[in-house]
Order: sequence, then structure tokens, then C-alpha cells
Amino acid sequence: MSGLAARKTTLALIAFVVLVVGYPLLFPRSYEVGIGITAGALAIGAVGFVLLLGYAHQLAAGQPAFCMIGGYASGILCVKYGWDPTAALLVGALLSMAIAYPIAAPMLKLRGFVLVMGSLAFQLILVVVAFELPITGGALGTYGIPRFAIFGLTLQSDVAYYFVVWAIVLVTIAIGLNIDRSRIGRALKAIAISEMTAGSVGMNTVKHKVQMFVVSAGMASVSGSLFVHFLRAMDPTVFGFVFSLNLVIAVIVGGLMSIWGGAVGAAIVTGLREGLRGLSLPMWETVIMGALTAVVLIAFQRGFAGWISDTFDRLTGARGRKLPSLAEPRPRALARLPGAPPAGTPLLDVSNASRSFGNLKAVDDVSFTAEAGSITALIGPNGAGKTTLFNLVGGYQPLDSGMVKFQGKPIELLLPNQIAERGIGRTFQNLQLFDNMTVLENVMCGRYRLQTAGILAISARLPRVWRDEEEVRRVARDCLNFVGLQGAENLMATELSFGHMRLVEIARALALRPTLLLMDEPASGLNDTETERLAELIAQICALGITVLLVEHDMRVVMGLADKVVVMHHGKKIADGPPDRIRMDPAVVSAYLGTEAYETAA
Amino acid sequence: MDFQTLAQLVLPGLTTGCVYALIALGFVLCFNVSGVVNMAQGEFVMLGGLLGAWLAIKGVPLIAAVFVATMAGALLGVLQERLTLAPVRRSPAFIQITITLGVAVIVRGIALIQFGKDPLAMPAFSGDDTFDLLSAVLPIQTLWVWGTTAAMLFGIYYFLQHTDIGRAVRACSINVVAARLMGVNAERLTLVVYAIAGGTGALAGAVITPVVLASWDAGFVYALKGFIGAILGGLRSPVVAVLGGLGVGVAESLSAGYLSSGWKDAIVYGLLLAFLMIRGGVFLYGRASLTAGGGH
Amino acid sequence: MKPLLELQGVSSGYGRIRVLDGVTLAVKAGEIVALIGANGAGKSTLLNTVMGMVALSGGEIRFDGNSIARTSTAAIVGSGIAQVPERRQLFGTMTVEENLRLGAYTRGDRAGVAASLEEQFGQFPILRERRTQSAQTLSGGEQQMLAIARAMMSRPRLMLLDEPSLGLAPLMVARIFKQITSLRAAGGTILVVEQNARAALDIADRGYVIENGRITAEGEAAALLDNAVVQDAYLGGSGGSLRAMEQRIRAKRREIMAAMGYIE
Repeated sequence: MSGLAARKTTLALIAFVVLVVGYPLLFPRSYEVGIGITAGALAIGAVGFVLLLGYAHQLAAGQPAFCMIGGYASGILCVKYGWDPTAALLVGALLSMAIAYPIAAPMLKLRGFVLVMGSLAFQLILVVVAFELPITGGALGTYGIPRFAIFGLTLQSDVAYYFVVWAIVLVTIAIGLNIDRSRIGRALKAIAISEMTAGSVGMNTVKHKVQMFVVSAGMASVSGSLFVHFLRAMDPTVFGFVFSLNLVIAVIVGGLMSIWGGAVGAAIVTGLREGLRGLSLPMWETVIMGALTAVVLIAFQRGFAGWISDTFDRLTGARGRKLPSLAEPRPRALARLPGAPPAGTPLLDVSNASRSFGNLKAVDDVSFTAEAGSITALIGPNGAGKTTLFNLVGGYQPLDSGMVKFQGKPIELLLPNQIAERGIGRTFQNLQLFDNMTVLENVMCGRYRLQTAGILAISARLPRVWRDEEEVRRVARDCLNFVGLQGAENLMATELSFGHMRLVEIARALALRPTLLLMDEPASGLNDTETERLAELIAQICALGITVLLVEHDMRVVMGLADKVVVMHHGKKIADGPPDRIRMDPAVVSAYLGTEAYETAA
Repeated sequence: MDFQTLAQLVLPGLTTGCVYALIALGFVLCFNVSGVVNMAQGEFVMLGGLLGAWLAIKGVPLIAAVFVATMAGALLGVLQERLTLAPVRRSPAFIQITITLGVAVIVRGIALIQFGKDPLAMPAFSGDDTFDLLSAVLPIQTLWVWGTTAAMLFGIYYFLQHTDIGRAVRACSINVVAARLMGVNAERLTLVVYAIAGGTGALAGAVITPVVLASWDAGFVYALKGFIGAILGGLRSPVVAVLGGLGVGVAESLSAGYLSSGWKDAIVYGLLLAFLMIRGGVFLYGRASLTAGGGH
Repeated sequence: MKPLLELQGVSSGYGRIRVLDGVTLAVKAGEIVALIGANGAGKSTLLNTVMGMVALSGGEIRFDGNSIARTSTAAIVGSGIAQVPERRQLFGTMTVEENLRLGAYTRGDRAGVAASLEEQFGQFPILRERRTQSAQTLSGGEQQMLAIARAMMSRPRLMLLDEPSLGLAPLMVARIFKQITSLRAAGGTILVVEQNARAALDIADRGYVIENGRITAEGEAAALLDNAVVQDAYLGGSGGSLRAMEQRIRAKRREIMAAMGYIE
């Protein structure tokens, strides 16, 4: 990670330790330590919820259902079966995660609001089950839950429990940070911006959303278990509506995208609640909580932790960095594509592709080939079907009939992320960068398909994971050097000019190590100078052995660069050949300039 | 099961179903025009009932109490839209939904402070007599509920199909850019829709209170049940939403009758959960809907 | 005579992207002006800027002498400009009649609206036949007619047409363009943006050519029709400016390939 982020983490860690250790020294009374314990237990659930709500953008409002499972697991196993509390906690967590998985998978395929209601429904069902089943003790619940013990060693004092809880909070935060700084973290942030674009670099969006749901369920379960060992009792109302609210608000107040924010928010919310109780205003609790949620989301979405981070940036002068002027691209920064297919052989083969929308034939029996090592341009007047054809190749639209073969194998049935996995990268006409990441991180996203670390290895931050991250960072820098954006790596993607952002997108596509690069109107929105530099860059990319297929309107680029030009009109291919022949073709000229209005008047 | 028991369960189920139907309709209208699932939808109903009951207890004539309650609901809808949604129109959907959650909580909290913990009762509009229908015995208030629901549904239908503004609302749901080119002020219309959602919700709450009592925490469960109706129509079809809401009311009543009252909620939510998990196909981000970039 | 619509040095774009760069053009009352150019040149953006849908970053727009640069779209429609959008943008699930009525949204006079409805049915009898059908069931040509009729319902003094030939068969294109000339005959003023240069210049009085956000040629429509500049604008033919960059790009590519050891 960059120096700035590392410094912030160290400072946050120091602050964390100081505050956690200092609190019981300043507030040693039993009641106050108890508040510290509940804040800590809430923090564990909140960090998990940050991963779910902030990263995966899933408002699973019924998440406390898993706190219930953890709470009841601990309660029932310890009280009725005499289990060791730590073992019960772990079993509860595993049970929660095992239940979370089959629920999440189908619902997370759907739109966001579905999960809100679905998870709420799940929670309410669990509440009814808890009321009705005898094993949970019904309305009275389970009581007489023993103090927490670590494999036989019972924690007799509240202070000891307090430290154990906050130690677990730290472990949870570590897991969260590990996920944030990995390919999964980048994938989640990418998915939050645009699932489609995330798919274009090979990201499997549903898989990661499900992963976060399961991880969050596990953390919620641990949180629930720790709560009941403090309360010494568990009943269906403990993790009810008010608790759900506290969880949501803790995350929002702390900062939606901040792992540390989960803990900060939990502390603030707990403190606020106790403060209101102290002022004898418990009825105002919900109103203030609701108001806080709305106000923070409207006015300051990055929450408390975001505010602290921004203040830190301002004080250390990290903002206001100058934008780099366009450096010279370094064409030698990237090596030639290993194993590039021999030049001239057919790389992409489109045969008789057709696609209709209703009774409009957008693409009508189109066939063409893009040879390896060449630049092929797809042109045609507005409405010709170029973009539809482009989307058919990229997997964003299904074909009605026909075939698309890449390196001899059919790809027309593949989804966009599968197509990316085969080594086909793309750039977008209206620029699809991930606004919430730096330039370097954007490019690192391109490397996703070549990274293999799974959630467990990432959570534990095994050495091979951070070695892999270093490697990805190096590759990303090489790609940035190649396009000439050396100095820009730590800037947020949105801080750059449009032309530079285009280059970032290209660098990201290059990080994928593509055999074929699909470019959708790359010159769109560029001025003359930028257009010419872009053309040169595309030539350099082709020299690496990467085959380029571009849709473009700017004829200077098309006629200057292309080895082959494919012209479409009214969904059909009307010409196919080298630029100079194409521009003289009467059918092409007539397609572009149009036919006289009265030619065929009735 | 004999017919009489069936009727005795189905007909009151239809009555509570009327409230769910109106909530479902409110969800669909707000979603179509603003893209937001308004979690505070149930709070309009709760507020209408509680405010109406409270005014009635204070001696305000019933008609005035119901009227004020309805207006309060409409006003709440307007305030919600203006203060909490308009400023964040460009934020991602999940943030807007969370904000509506915050609003729901605020309204609940204020209701608790203002009206207290205990449920409030409201006298029936035309007395406590009962009448017979299809061998079931129903309170007269049932007719008020059915009547006002039918009137509101008709009113909304007429508004959307036969008035200029209603037509413009529909246009905004179909293609807001084209609507703007017609000179339609989409922001102002969103306000109108939220006012309607709030007002109809509050009125529904007021007329059902003589039957079920009004309580500060009822809103959430109302919203969830109304949502089931809305989601059956994919949050797009008002007709399916209304029918769905009625169906939920009937299903709930039947479950309460034939199973224990505790399990009735679990059944209803279980059906929702199952439906969401199985019918994923309706909302799937299929390949057909993923088109990159602009037009041709 | 003062122009009905006047753009002076207009620059606009979307966010950071500058699309129009100092565009100056004028449309006089009673004439048809064609704005032609390749895709991506900025034609639609220009119309959307006039309608107030895209923010102006520089320059001035005047309608009948009054500035409309920072006016809301609703007010612009009310003052007498209507747009027939690219690809029609009809309200597909609504009926033909409802679409037409929506065109008259800014008008308050019920009787007048009813009269306009009759008038449009008179102009486009096929629409009367299909008045209760939903708009999406109409054929491409019928949809274009509906889109034009819908715009006419606001009784505009200036009509902006965005690529009316898009997606239409040549026969339909001819018919639609004939319709456009009859709008002029009835006293209307029209700015038509088109990629189909010949069809547009055929019916227009005057024309402008736009390339990469700038006006590169203007004049009498008939003169432009034969002008090589127009062909250049689309295909980078024999004309000057486009060709220079193209040549440089080609040379650079050759240079790079040579450096890599390829034989040209």
C-alpha cells in the first residue's frame, strides 16, 4: 500500500490501542465497563456490516438475524449442553455462515432492494421461530448463560472480558482491512460503481457479494455470542428492530466505506444511547438515530472516519497535489505479449451474426475476420449496428444466430466476465473508470483475472497474497508508464482530465494482458492533440502483438491506423477492406452521405 | 373447512388487505417516478391512524379528524421528498433507500413520543353494528374501508389515465428525458406522487383504525406486507400490486385462522422469502440488458 | 431580418467532455436549415443545448432576440421551441393519442389542444387510424410521424429535428422529408440535424457542416451538396485538414512497425 495509507493505518492502530486501553482506566465502574463491552460487541457486527453495506452495497437490514443465531447457539449450547463458550461461539459462527450462503446466492442475483426486504423477512421469521420453538425457551428465552471462557479459562472480571472483546474487534478489523486491500476489495469497490465494467475485467460480481454476506453473517454471529455472554440471557427481542437500527446507524455514522469506521460508529452510537438514557430521554433515541442516519447520508456520506481521514489529508497537505502534465509514454515499459498468435492468422472470426430487437434487424448476417497483430476498424453511419455488433462480440448481447470464434473457439455464449478471462479486454466510449479508487488501483483491477487468491488466504493475509499484490502493483505501474501517466498513480481517478482518464482506461485494459483489445470510440471526447497521441498509442499497442478491434467515428484515426476497415449500414456489412479502397467505394460514400430525398418519392 | 369459516376469514382478510394494497400501490408509484423503494411507506399509514384516533379522542369530529390525518400524511410525503430525497437524487439507490429507513425511524420515534406506547382506538364511523355477508359477520366499518379504498383506487386510476398531470407522471416513469422535452417538470411531479402516496396511506390508516387499533410501531410490518404485493408486480405494475396486497391480507387471515397466530407472520414472510429466492428470473441482470456505451 | 434562432460562440459538453467548441449559426424565420456532420461531431449535443438539456459553458443562444442560455427546458418549450428527439423517444406503452396530448403539456387551452389534435390527425391520417394503439406497435415510419406530430402539438415557432432518417427505410425517409417541407410551407421554421447529408441538403435552404464540435462550412444548401468539404467531413477524402493528421498517423505507425522489425 502507498505510504500515505500505511501511515494512516499505523496512526489509527495507535489511536485504537490508546483509546481501548485508556477507557477502562478513565471509566472503571462496572456499569461503564459494561458499556465498553457492548460497544465492542456491536463493533464486531458493525465491521462485518461495513463489508456488506459499504462495500457490497447490500442493505441487508435483517442482518441481526445472524446475531440471533450466534446468541442462541451460545446460549443453548452452554446452558443446555454445558459446552465451552469459545467452542459454542465458533460453532455459532459456522452455523450462521452455513445458513447465510444458500440464502444469499439467489437473492444477491437480484436488485438491491430485494435483499433489503428478503433479509428483513428472514429476521422476522427467525423471531417467530424463536418464540415458538421450545428449545429456545420461547418468549422467556434462555437464561443463566455463563460468563465467557477461553477454552476452559473463565473470564471472571468484566475488565478481562472487555479486553478480550476488543481484541476480537481488532482481529475483525484486520480481516476487514485485508479484504479491502486485496483483489476482492477492489472488486467490491468496482462492483459498487458499475457491475458491467467490473465484469469487463473479469470480475465475478455475484460471488463476491455472496462472500461478503457470508463473512458478515459470521461476524454478526460472533457479535451476538459475545453480547449474550455479557447479558447472561438471550430472548427473541434482544436483537430486534432497535438493534438493527443501531447496526445500520453505526456503519453510516462511522463511515460507509471505512473498516475502522465500523468500530468508531459503534462506539459513537453506544455512547449516544447511554448519554440519552443518562439525560432521561430514552424515547428520543429512535428519533435521533433516524435523524442522524438521514443527515449523515445527505450531508456527509463518508461519515466520521471519512472526516478524520480528510482532516488528516488536509493537515499533511496531501491534497492539492498538482496534476501531472502528460509525460512521454514509454513504449518499452511493456513487453511483447508472450505467446502472441502468429501475425496474419484469424484471431476473431464473426460468422453470420444476427441480432434483432423486435422487428428491427440491428445486425443482419454480418461476417468478418480480425487477423492477429492487426488493427481492424468497424465504421458506419449512425444506426448502422456497429455498437450492437461490438456488444455481441463482447458478450453484452446474445446473438440470435451466427457464431463468434476467438482463437478458434466459440465465445458467443459467454458472459462478459468470462470473455475477459479468455484474454479479451475492452475500453468504453463514455469512460467507465472506478471513481472510488486511485489511478493505480483502477489499473490493478485489470489484473483481476490473473490473480488467484481466495477469501480465506486474503483474510489471513498469507505471504503469497501480499507478494502477489506487490507483483500486481508493479505490472500496473508498467502499464501506466506505457501510456505516459507515470506521476498520476496516487491520484483519484476523477482528478484527471478527460484525456488522461481515457489513458487510465487503456492502461487498465492492458493490465489484463489481452490478446484482443476492443475499443469503443476511444477518440470520442478528445481534442486534436490527444487524438493524435491516442492513435500513436494504439499503434504501439499493436506493436506489442495485441490485436485491436475498434469502433470509431473519427476518420483521421480510422483511415490512418486501420489495416482493415469493415463498413456497416442498416445492420449489414457493405464493405470490407483496406482504408483507401473503402473510402472510394461508392456504396460506402452513398451510405455516409445519404441518398437524395426525392429519389424514391412515391 | 366449511364455507362460513372460510368467509369469516377471507372477508376480514380482504379488509386488512385493502391497507396492504394501498401501501403496495404507494410503493409502485414512488418507485416508478423516483427509482426509490420508500421504506417509510408504512409510516404514513401508522401516522394516519394514530393522528386520527388521537384527534377523535380529543373530541374533534370524525370527519375533520380523518381529513387532518390525510393531509398530514400528504404533507409528510412532501417533506420527505423535498428534504431527504431531492438533495441526494444522484446518489446510489441503496443510499436513498437507507435514508428512507432513517425517515421511517424518525416518524416512528416522534409518534412514540407524541402519542405514547399504548395503541389508540377510534370510534367506528357509523357505529358498532355488524352486518351479514356471505354468511360471515362483519363490522359496519368494513364498508367504510372497502368504500374508501375503492374510491382512492379509482381516484388514482382516473388521475393517471385521464388528467394531464397524471399522464405526465406516467410519462416520467417511461422516459424521463422525453418527458422533459415535452416541458414536464419531473421534480415537481415527484413531489406530487409522494404527496399522493402519503395522503392515501394516511387515509387508509385512519379508516382501518376502528377495526385494528393504531400503534406507533405498526408501520414497519405494514410496509413489509405491502411490499410483498408490490414486488409481485415487479414494482412496476400498479394493478398486480393492488391485487397482491389484497392477497397478502387474505393469506395472512387464513394462516391465522388455521394455524397458530404466532406462525401466521412466519408463513407470510416465508412466502415472500421463497418468492424472492425463486422468482429471481424477473429481475436478473441478464445479458440482454447489459449494453455498453451509447447508441449506434 | 433578425434570425429566429441565433447561436454565438456556443461551447458545451457533458461534465469534463467538451463537445461543442465555439459554434455560431443562425436560423431565420420560415427557412429550413440543415446541420450535417459525421456521428460524434456534436449535432445532437447542439440541439440538446438549445433545449436547455445540456449546460452551456460559453457563448450565447438567442431565440427571437431573447437569451435562452440559462432557461429551463420547460420554459423553452413554452416559448415556442419543440424537439423531435433522436430515435423518436416516444412513450412506448402509451397510446398514440396520449403521446400527442403530452406534446401539448405546456399549453393550457383545452379547446385549442383538441383543435390541434384534429389538425395533426388531418396531416397524418394514419395516426388517426391508430389513435388508441400503443406507440410501440407502430412501424418505424409511423413512429417518426407521431414524433413530429407530437412536437407540433405545442404549436412551436421553431422545430428541431434530430436525425429524422435514423432507422428508416429509404422510401420512408423520402416521405418524412417531404413532410418536413410541408411544415415549412405552413409557415414553420426548422433546424434539422442529419447524418444523411444529401437528404437534408435536398430540402434545406441553407446548411452548416459540423466536425469535431466546430462549424467547418456553411452556405446555400445546393452549393454545399456538391462541395468536397462535405465528403471530407465524413470520409476524410481529398480535402485538407482531415488528411494531414491522417497522414501523420499513418507515418507514425509505419515508423513503429519498422522499429519492431516488421517489414511494411
